[in-house]
Amino acid sequence: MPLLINGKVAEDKWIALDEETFASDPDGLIASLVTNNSAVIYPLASYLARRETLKGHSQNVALKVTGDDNLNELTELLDEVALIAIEFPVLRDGRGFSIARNIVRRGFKGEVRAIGDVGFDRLDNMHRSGFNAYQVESEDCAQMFAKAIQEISVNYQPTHHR
Amino acid sequence: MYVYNNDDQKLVEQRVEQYRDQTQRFLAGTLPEDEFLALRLMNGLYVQRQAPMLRVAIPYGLMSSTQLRKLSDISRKYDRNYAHFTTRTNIQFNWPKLEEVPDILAELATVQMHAIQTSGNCIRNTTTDPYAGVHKGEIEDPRPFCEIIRQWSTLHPEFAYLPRKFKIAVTGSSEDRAASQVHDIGLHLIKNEAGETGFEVLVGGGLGRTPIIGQVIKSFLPVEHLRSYLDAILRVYNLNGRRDNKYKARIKILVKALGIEKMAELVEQEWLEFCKETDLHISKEEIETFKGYFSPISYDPQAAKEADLTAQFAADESFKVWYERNTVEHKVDGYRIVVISLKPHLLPPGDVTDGQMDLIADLADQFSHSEIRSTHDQNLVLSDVKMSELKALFDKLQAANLARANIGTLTDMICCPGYEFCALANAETLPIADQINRKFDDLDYLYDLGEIQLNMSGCINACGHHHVADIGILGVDRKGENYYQFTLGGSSKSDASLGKTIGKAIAASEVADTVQKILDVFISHRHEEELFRDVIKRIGLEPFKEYVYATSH
Repeated sequence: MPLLINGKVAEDKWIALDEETFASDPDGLIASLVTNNSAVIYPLASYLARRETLKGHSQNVALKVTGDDNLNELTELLDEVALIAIEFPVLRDGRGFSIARNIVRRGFKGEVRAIGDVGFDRLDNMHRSGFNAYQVESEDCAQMFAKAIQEISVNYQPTHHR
Repeated sequence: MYVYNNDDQKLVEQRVEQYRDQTQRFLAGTLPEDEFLALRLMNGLYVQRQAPMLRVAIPYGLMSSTQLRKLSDISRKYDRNYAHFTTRTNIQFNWPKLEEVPDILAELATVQMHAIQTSGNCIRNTTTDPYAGVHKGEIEDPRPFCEIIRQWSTLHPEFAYLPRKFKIAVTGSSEDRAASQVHDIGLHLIKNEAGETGFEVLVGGGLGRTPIIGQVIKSFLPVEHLRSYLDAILRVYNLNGRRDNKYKARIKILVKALGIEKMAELVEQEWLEFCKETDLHISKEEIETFKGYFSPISYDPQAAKEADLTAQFAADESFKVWYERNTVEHKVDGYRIVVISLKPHLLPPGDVTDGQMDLIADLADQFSHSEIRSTHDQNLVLSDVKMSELKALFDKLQAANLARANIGTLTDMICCPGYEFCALANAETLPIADQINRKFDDLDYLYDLGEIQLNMSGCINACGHHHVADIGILGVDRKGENYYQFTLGGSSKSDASLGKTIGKAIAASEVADTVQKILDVFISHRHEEELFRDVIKRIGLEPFKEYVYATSH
């Protein structure tokens, strides 16, 4: 799926790990990923389970979070990861906007990536809530993004810039 | 009133084009139906039983004569020559064509109007006291703060996909004319001991399936923190409100689950840590600027000297009756607040025709500084009418069937459109309203009863606010037959309370007779001029239950 970072199409160097794969052999898996310098997106719970091992590798460590995760746990980890992927499981679930806002205003400077149901009509909301990367289905995503953030140019919220 | 600057205008114009594009993509098949559903709802477009319904925002119920004329125009050009005012002080068109909605929105934008966030799971139109700024005894005019909320909540990127809809009401007086205690957030302007203005903030009120009275989350919030505190509440709600069941998704359920103390703690933490000291803080200058948009009109100092209506009352008894019922004391001597009754005999409550809209716009120009207000109980208000001009205004209203002297009486009912117009409704409401109107057409009898609020909803979603009426009627469906359940003792005013059911639902044909029985019990127990609600408080529901459900009389 195409990836857009800061409005430009980008190569995705990250491997997304699911909880089941991780659970089958967590220590072996982590050992090989660390040795190979692989950049990996861990589900929050998986990361927390092996936090001590992964802690020093922030450049290659990312987290995947959803609205069901404990955000207080997440905010403790902002210095330990390079990317946070926030999942929008369905169109109507707007928790991801507030999760992004939460981590950005806490000073997270890494990539904030929207994954899941990331459609054209919500790109501007995401952009203004603090996302800077989007996994989207469309091939002409750079154009699409440029259009999405230009549809409305007026901004009534001084805390949510475009 | 607030007049758009270039940015405000640009926003509504851009929103029209954005929505036009969404509609075109839907019609072309490139935007899936479920995605379009969420997007069109956020722009006030429902698809109802017979046709789409478009709800247009009237921010805090305030509109100009130019805007009302445009609404009239739209009803002629795109609809069937009428429209309906809602309990959120908005206006609905019942027969627009889906593909023409972008054109309607473009027309609205030319008069600084829109349909943004009139539906959907987002922050809805903020409502307030229809007598704001002109009522005697007001603490402060709530409208500048309503406008601040309007701007902050409009197209808020973070709060467009909330667990459920979100409604805010603001009052500026000790009397509550905005049902603020049954809102997701109720804001009451108050003064503290030091004489500073702030808000008492209530959270978690609401009607629908689980009616709840809001609870105080902050007893005094200085006005400068209004935006930042709302931001904190909304974020706590957006992250923690339930999303697994739409009937348990309102903030009231979250507040109930957490308890008000825990909710207050979460909000306070969020507010202090991340909201209070941000750009959401409102400076004193900014507040003054917003107040300036609502500065009082220049009242005629001569008006008080021409306020003697004795001769006109003597010449026209119906004028006197209307004056007593449908006008309200104004803060300036020589002026009255006029309520235009949208509850005529045997016509749908809250409906207006195109001709009536044009006339009301003209009357606003002629008698009330070109402004009109809509009320949460589905009437209209002209806020600044000279007493010397009341008779001329009355004559014109009466000729247009807009002067039924029933404000505050049994037939001034709040009523949702019901089964005929709403896809959610289980039961008809309008024929029942007619039935009640037929039975209770004697104004003298209604006046003798005193102030009684009767509200009716066609389903459990409670758009007709039946829980907070002296007499509440809820329509239910039993195997294809409509039945009506009565609740008594509710109120949306300062003494907000939820009505209690008196027993099993009653057949459609017996609704008006049941109202009569309830009134008979009231009259037989009433001391002198005692109000209906006071009698209920004193004697409870038992006598009503006994009489209504007695096998024979």
